[in-house]
Amino acid sequence: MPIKDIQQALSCASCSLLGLAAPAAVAAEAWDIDLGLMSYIEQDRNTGIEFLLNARRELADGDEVFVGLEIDTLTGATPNGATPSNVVQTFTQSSGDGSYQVAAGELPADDTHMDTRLAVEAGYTDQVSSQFAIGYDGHISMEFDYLSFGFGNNYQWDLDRRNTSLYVGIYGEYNRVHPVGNIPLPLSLMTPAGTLQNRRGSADTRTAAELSLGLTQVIDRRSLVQLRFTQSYFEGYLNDPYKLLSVIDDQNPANLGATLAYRFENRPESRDLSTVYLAYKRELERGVLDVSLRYSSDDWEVLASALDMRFRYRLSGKRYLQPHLRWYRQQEAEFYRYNLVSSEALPEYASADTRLATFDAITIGLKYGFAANKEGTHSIAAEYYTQQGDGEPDEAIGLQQDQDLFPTLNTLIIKYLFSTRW
Amino acid sequence: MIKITIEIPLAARYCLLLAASISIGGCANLGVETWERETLSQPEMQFLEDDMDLALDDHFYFSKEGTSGGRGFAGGGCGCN
Repeated sequence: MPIKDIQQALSCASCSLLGLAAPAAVAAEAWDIDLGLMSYIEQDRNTGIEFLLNARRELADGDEVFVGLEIDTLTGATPNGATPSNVVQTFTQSSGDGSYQVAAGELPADDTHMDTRLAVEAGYTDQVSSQFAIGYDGHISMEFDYLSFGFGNNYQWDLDRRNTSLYVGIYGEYNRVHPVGNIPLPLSLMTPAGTLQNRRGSADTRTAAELSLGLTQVIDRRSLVQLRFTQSYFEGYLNDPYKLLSVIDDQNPANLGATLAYRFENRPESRDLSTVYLAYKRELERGVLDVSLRYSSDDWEVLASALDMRFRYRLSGKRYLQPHLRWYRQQEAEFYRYNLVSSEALPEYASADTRLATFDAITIGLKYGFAANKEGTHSIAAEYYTQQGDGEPDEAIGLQQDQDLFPTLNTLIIKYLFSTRW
Repeated sequence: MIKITIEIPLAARYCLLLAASISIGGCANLGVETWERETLSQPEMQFLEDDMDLALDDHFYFSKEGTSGGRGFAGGGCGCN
């Protein structure tokens, strides 16, 4: 093996997990190409397709350049935050020009959106010395109602015969939200189609900043561990402009639990998020075990834990099977609610977005990888994701008690990945 | 006198304890020599070996759940959360 390849392999053995700019095992004067295709189908909801193309090349002086392209599209019905009811419900489209209806007993979802996103990324790693590297990366992401710019800078030191790696990274992002139908007034009423809509402007912005500190440590000849602390801060317009909350009647005995109106959500204008991530890799007799644990907390009072386990089981002829199991638990944001009620004054913040709710989620999957020939390696994976919350909460009122207020989300995910050198 | 209180989540305390144990309780016994890296140099032993697969996962979970990040940036560059 050429000396430069050995040096590259040694460097990779203590790499910390980075967003994009970590040095990978790239042959000099060659591009490492990675292609990924993912399709997911949610039962009775959305269908998503995502395409990723990455290219990485090591330069003559040991520096590295990276470019990436991402395209994804989402179709189908996205839950709009309202709760199911015992009668047909009519909602105004985001544009304010039309409406759509949801049958009795069904989770209200807007099927009038089709979302397509295009993102371009680029990165450069300056291998200042054999033990110190500086990385730069940036992205531009565009949707018809969203624009994002991001830039990152990171530093990595390899110490103690490259058994220890230290990482410091900073990242900033600027986003512009320009939703269909303009920005809703916070907690304002949804008005019928064709009438005056409660809006306050065509666009708003939000920014994000992140500081990340990481440590990767080789334990022994067959295992290594990584620890990472990340502090993220978000500020600006953090609402989902398309999400509603039902206003439920809790005052009229003859109508308890009926939906009286709908209001747009409102979230705080800042969010402070702390994340601890711990990962462990261990070579076993028949393969490699990969276990990671992530714990997050923020000032919205969202607490979340994620345990992710994969085992790459080696088969003959450079083939492998990789089962995957992930368990995720989340505690709701302090302003999350199933709905508003008619008897109470409007709160300052409220959202019925289930992504901020209390739920458990499990992923079970299996991946098969193989090298078809000298041109590259392929892998295909099938996974099942389910998200389960409390569909019969204690706060359900009257007619609501006959409804499932948190229908289980079931999703089938198919992935294809291809890697080659060019 | 200014009093500063730092709250550390329970899981973070365990992670800190693990990191401290690694760095204090057996630092001299951790790590390998250059010639002992035959296993560690294998692609499947790199934390970034499956980086595209992990990126696809992270983007999917970012659009379905209330938290993200850890491996990469917690924001998403998209309007999906």
